[in-house]
Amino acid sequence: MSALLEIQGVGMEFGGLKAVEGLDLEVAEGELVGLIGPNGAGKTTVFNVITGVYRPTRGRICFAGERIDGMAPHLISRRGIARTFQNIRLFKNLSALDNVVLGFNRSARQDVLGSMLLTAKHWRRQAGILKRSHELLDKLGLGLAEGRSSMELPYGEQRKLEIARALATQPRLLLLDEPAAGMNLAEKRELTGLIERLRREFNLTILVIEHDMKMVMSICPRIVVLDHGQKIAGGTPDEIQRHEQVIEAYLGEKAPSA
Amino acid sequence: MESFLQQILQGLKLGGIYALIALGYTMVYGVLRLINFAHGDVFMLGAMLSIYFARWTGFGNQPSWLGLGATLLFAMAVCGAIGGVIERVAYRPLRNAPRLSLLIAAIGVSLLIENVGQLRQVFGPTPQPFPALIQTKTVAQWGSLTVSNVEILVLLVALGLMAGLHVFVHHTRFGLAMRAVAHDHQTAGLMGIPAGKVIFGTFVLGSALAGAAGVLWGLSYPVINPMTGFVPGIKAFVAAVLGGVGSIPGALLGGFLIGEAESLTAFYLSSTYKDAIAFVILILVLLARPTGLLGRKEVEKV
Repeated sequence: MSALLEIQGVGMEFGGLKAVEGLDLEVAEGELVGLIGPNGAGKTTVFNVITGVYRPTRGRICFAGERIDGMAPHLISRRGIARTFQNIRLFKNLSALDNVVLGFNRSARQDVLGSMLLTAKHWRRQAGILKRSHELLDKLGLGLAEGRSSMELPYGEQRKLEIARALATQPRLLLLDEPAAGMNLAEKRELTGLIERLRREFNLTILVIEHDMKMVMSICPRIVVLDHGQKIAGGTPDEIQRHEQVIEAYLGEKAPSA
Repeated sequence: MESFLQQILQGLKLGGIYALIALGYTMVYGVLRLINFAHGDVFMLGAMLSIYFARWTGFGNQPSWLGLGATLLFAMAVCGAIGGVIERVAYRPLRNAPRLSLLIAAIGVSLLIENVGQLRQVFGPTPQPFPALIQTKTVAQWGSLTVSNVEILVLLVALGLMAGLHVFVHHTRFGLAMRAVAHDHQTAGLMGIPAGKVIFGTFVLGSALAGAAGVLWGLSYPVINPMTGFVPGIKAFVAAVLGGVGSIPGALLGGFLIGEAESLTAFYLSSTYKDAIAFVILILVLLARPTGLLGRKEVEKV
């Protein structure tokens, strides 16, 4: 089985601060992997490095066999990596529908020319995209919200809209950054089901950062733990729960027995 | 009463031109957070190059609708191209530089165009007459109030272009991408939108509108020199700030308000003050409502 995402020896330094150091991580096609760690462990930095927000200072990242580190974010997105954000970053000036329409963005050159000349082809493409956007919103249970400004949506729906927008870019790999943050128990349960359903329906590979241990343990067959920018453990939920370094990272060092 | 209406009409014509220029300021500010001080000079180039175009094609010798239409299209195309080149050469290399560097680059481009334009080998410092692309006629008269075809034409072309821009921004995919980049270009990039191309396209679009404004200006004030862009450019900038920089409807509103203010000041106070009024308005806006009439408060992201 060859990996869809291969991260080899990746390091990310800001000035003297090593946010991520010597990270190796492979994610196979179809996997659902949880990325956990205490605050400031470098989890979001890993997402930023994968999606091209930062160019890693060391190491290499391959996606579907192609090297992507150092590529512009929009090119990485087009190769099939999409993400959501820890603090929601929807286009608040656009309607829920437009946020999704925007995701369906494949050939920009045609778009610019078509938009300028208002060609019939542009309108046809536009109509097709609208239809698919409606369908996508329906699938996420946001059908009723589509005309509203994304800013007015309730918090939980904003989170789902971010997922819809990410899916509109037609990714193979979806990176979810704390999708359950700020959700109540019922919403979390619904989200858990949704992630599983979307994974099957869209043939997705998912890497998810989440602080809710119960949720991570229940949905992710494999979990990777980061601490101080380094991978300290990886394995099944059971293995992680018993891993000494992980317990230390979360609870602090064990007091020397008196 | 009639002279008041005459001033209002004059203000509308002037305001339509300011609004067209202000749109370019506000769109570029929207996607790049840059006040493109070279924008007024692109407007001047639209007027100036149209003179040469009309001379070369012979459209300037005999007024005709064809000549007018062709000149307008020429000015839009050539200014769009110039705007694109300016973005590539002067601003793109500074994409990750502090914003102040970008602003200084903009002032540099402006000075460059104005001063190179004054070389005798280029346009020369002497004002050049703008050709009469249409014959000025009075098309309506009530008492002493007269409406000329130039006034109607300027207003119609300006409104038509604004309507076109509205359709473009709100109903095409490029327009949608533009709004997304204006809101958050980093996230737009992560959603697969090539922010660089969108910024480029925005410059082309804004500059094309400035080119059209240049032709309309030439029809109304048919004497053009390389410095012609400076004052209208600054006033259009004030118009954009008054309306709320970054807001397209704001640029329209601001443009018409500045046009009216200028026209009424010239008539009721003194034409000496007509250029000053825009700056009085600028100072008042910055004191009382820095976000402009239709602008939104910008929340710094953490």
